[in-house]
Amino acid sequence: MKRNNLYTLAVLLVVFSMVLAACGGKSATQAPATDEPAATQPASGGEQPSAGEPKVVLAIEHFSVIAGTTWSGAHDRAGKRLAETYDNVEYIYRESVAPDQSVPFAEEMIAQGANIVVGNAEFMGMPLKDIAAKYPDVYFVSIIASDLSTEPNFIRYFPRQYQALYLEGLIAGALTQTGNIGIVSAFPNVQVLRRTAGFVLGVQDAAKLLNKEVNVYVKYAGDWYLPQEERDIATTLVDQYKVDVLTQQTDSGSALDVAQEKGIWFVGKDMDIVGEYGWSSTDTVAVSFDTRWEVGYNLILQEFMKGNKTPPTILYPGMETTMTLKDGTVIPTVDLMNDGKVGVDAISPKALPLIPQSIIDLVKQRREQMMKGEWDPFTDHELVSNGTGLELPGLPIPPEGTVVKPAGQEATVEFLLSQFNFDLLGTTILK
Amino acid sequence: MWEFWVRSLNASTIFTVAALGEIIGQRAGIMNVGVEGAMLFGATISFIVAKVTGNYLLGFLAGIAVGALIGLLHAFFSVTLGGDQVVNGMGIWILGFGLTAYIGYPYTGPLGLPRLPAIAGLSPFFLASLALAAGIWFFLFKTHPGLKLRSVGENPSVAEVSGINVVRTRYASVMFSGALMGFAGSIYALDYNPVWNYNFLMGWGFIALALVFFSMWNPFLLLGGSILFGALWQVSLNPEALLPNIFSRYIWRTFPFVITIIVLVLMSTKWFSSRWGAARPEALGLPYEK
Repeated sequence: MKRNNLYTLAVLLVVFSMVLAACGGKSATQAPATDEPAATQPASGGEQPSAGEPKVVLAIEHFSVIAGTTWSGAHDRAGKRLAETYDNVEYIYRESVAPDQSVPFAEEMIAQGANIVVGNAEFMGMPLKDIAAKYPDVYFVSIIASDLSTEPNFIRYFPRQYQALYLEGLIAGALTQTGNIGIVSAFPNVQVLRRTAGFVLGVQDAAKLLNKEVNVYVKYAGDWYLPQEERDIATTLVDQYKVDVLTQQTDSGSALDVAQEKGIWFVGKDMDIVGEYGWSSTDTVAVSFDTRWEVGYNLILQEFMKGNKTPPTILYPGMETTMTLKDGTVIPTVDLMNDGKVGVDAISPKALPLIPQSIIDLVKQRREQMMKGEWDPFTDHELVSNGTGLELPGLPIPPEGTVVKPAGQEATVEFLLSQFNFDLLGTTILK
Repeated sequence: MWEFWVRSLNASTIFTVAALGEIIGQRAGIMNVGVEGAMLFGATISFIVAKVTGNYLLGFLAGIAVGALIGLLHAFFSVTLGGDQVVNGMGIWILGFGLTAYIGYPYTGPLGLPRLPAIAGLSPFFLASLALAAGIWFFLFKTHPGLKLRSVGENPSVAEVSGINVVRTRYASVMFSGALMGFAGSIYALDYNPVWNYNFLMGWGFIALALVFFSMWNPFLLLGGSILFGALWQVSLNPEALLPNIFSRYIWRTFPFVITIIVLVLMSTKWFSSRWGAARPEALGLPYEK
C-alpha cells in the first residue's frame, strides 16, 4: 500500500471514530413497561404514589447484562417497580457497565435528566464518588461490597440478606439426612463470609433443636463466576462429602444443575429462580430468597423527593423495612421466596413433609420477629471465629474460638459491612 | 479415585474433539486460533436448539452445523482473501464471545432435559472421541485423501502441481475442523455442563489449541495429552485432596500451558528436528497464492 493511501486510511479511521462517538450515548435506554410484580403479601398500607410532583429519573448502571441474571435482573425489576409505583418516577438504565464506563454513562444520563444514579456493584459504582461533588443536586449510589466511603450525596446500600439466609439455614439443617450441607462459594470476602455466617447460624440452630449433628462444608471456586469449577466443586461435595443439601455463594447455574442431576436439595440465593426464571422446579429447589432492591431505592427516592441535601449515606435495611407496590402488595427488603410464594409457603411442597413442625414454627416465628424488627440472628447469637476467613488490612482473622461478638449484643453496621472477616466456628473450609 | 478419573476423562473429551478439529485444519495449513469462539458458537446454538425443541440430536446437529459455518467464514478470510490467519482467528473468538452472550442470555440456566446416559459415570462421548482420534489418524496417515490433505499443509505449490485442488482441500478441511469444534462445544453444553452462562468455556478452547502443538499434530499423542490436561485440570480443582502441599491450584492451572511451551521450545531445537523430523506442517499459517 502506498504511503498516501495509508494516510488516507488513517484519516478515514479517525473520522469514522468521531462519527461513532457522536452517534453514541445520545439516548439512554428507557425501561419498557414493567411486568406484574410477584405476589408476596397482602397489602397493609404504605406510600402513596406522588402524582403531580416533579419528575424524578432513577438511572441504574448494571455491571452485567440484565436478562437471565439474578443480580442485575433483580435491580432492573426494582427500577421497573418504582417507575410503576410512582407516576413521577422514570427509570433508565445501562447494561454491562465496566468501571471505566460508569462515570461517562452517568454524565450522559444526568444530561438526560437523571437525578439518582446507581452503580449496582461496588467495583463499578465507586467511580461515581469522583463526580459526586460536581453534581451536588444528584444522588449517587453504590452497592457495598466492603468499602464504606461516602459523600453527602454519595450513598452506600446493601440489604440484610443474611436474615433470609438464616431462615434458609434452618430449613437446610432440618432437610439434610446425611448431616452434610455443602456451599459452593466464590472466595473469602466480607460479603460472602457474612452471608455464609447467616446461613450457618440457621443450620446450627436447626441441628440443636433437632438434636442432630450437621456439618457445613464450604469450598471456594476462586471467583464469582467459574461454571466448570462450580460444577466440579458441587460434584465433589456430593460424591466425596455426601452432601445432600447444596447451596451456593457463586453466580453460575452449575451447582443447581448438579443438585438436580444428583437428586439432592438445592437452596437458592438472591432471587426466586424458580418463579422468576423457571430454571428448575420445587422438586429440587427446597427454598430460596428474593432480594427487593427497590425497598432501599425507595428510601433514597423519598429523601430525594423531600429535597434533603444530607440524606443518610449508609443504608442497610432488613426485613423490617418494606415498601408498598402499586397493586398494594407490601414487600420487605428480603424474604423467603420460591415459585412465587413467600415465607413458610416458599418451602417446596415436596420438602415440607420432611421438615419437623418445630422447625416450621421456628421459621415462621423468626421471620415474623425480623419483619417487626424485634429479632436479628447476628444480635441474638454470639459470633465465634473458626480461625479461618480473610485477613484485612490491620484486621487479622480472629483465632479459633475467639468470641468476636457476645450473644445479645447488636453488631454495628460498620462491623457487619466491612469487618466481618471470619467463618463461624463449626464451618469446615475445604482446601 | 475412579470419580477423579471419570471427571478427568469427561473433561478431556472436550479438549480431544476440539483439538482434533484444529489438527485437521492445521494439517491443511490453516491455523484457527479462534477455537474458543467456534466452540462458544457450537455450545450456545446447540443448547438453544436442544432447549427449545427438547431434542438432543437436533441440538448436536445444530452445534456441528454452526461450527462448520464458522469454519467456512474462517476459510473465506484465510484461503480466498489470504488474510492473516491469527488475526482472523482472534476475530472469531471475539465475535463468539460477544455474539453468543447476546444470543444466549435469554436461555441462561440449566438445560432442563434428562441427562444423557453415562457408563459408570463416563460420558459416551469419551468413547466416541477415542474412535474419532483413531479414525482421523487412519485418515491422515493411511489414506490417499489424507496424504493429499497433509501435502497441502506442507507445500501447497507442489500439491497444486500434482493435481490437488488446494483451495477446495483447505475449504473442506477448515469446515470439517470447525464442525468438530462446534461438536466439542455441543458436548460441553449438552453433556458436560448443561447450564448456559455467558462465556462459559472460560478458556477451554485455548487449552485445545495448546494441545495441538503439544501433540506434534499427531491424533494419538493428542489423545494422551488431552487426558493429561484433563487430569491436571482436575488436580487444579482439588490440589489439597490429591497432591497436598505441593502447589496452589493456580499454579496447577498453568501446567498445560507450561508443558506446551516446553514442547514448543524442544521442537524448535536442532536436536529435535534431526532426531524426530519436522513435526509442524511446513506451510502452516501461510496464505497460498497460485
